[in-house]
Amino acid sequence: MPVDPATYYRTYGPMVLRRCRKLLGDDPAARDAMHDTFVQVLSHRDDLADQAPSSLLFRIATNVCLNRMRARRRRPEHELPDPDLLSQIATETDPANRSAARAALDKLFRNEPADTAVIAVLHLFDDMTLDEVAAEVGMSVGGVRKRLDKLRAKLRVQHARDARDAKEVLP
Amino acid sequence: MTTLPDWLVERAALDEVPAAMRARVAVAPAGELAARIAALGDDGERELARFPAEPAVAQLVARADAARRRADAARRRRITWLAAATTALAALVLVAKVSLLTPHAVDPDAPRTDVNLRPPAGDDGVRVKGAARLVAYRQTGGTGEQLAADALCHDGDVLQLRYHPGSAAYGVIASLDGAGGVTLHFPLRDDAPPEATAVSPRMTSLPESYTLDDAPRFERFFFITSASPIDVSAALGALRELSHRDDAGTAQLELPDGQHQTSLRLLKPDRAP
Repeated sequence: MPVDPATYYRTYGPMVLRRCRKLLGDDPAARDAMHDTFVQVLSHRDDLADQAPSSLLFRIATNVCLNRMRARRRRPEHELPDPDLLSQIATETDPANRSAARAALDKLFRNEPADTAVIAVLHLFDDMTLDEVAAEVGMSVGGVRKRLDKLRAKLRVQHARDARDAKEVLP
Repeated sequence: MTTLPDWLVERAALDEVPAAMRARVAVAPAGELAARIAALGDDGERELARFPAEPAVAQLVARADAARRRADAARRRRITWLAAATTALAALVLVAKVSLLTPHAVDPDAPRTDVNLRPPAGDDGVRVKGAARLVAYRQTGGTGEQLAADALCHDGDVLQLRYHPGSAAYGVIASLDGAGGVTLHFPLRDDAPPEATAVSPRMTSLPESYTLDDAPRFERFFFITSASPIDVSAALGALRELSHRDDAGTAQLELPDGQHQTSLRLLKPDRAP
């Protein structure tokens, strides 16, 4: 059943804005991200089930914010609230090009498993348990754990690389 | 103080707490939860008073409609391209058939020209007409290095897999490592329905790269293909069966009739399979 955009916005807009503020840290960027989230949702509005959409909006907002962080990483005008964790997740899961980023967003609308980036933010930043992440993204707990293990392996490699670079810089 | 995280309070405020999380909400101190929900309500009212919904929604709907038109146009372009490619392919097949049916002299010294059509050396898959191919690239810096069969790899190497299903319409990609670990790469979920094993008919990259762990000896990627949907659990079961065997690094999977396999084995340093 198609959703009513105005009702959707009034009901979920403040929640989405707070989510974007928490991830991006500054109000203008968060407001832009909130609008981008609604553009994504409204462009698929004929396909949406009009029930309990807060979970979908939460994940789309997370995805939109991660994409903004990746773009911002090259021109860091503002600090992230947790630069280590969030920027590492954004960097290590960077889809590298716009079409891949677009595909990651589209997956959310097709009820396909969320990207590792979203899973990692839910677990590592939002402190959802593995069970809760699995329920949130519609995957098995084992599947979620496997995605996180892969990401942790990537982060370990990155840490080792950073430590080696730091050693080379220090006298 | 309640230990409920912000996201869960948001769900409670919207009365959209998923079943898996209701127990956590139920044990939270009711008074504090109610206060936090009321605070969210106040914040929302302030936000909508400061930035009313109607003008914002009108702009967002216009942007969403424009995005939909762009997506529809892109989809139409893809369909047109696919139709053209299919027509060209059909013509090519026809020419090839006519060529094969026409007797002609063969020059035994002529150079072979099947370089791009041949699966990687060492590929131990069953060859069928329009054989499937599985290719691995190692990400090094900003580029990818194609890995031959039995290429040496290391813990932490980031691999990108690409496949071409040949004439198959369905496929499952999974790997088996030297420690007996089995990992599913496509489709993404081990409980995916058989229909989810439908594959793209052209050379396609998997959506996610794969980081090798410290499992010893080898990592062996299997591409199981079929003309009909594949039971993912059964396919993974075949890999697990193989993982118990001493010749797991070289033997073929036991698969049902109608399913084919090709594999690509990568070696870990200083260890033979």
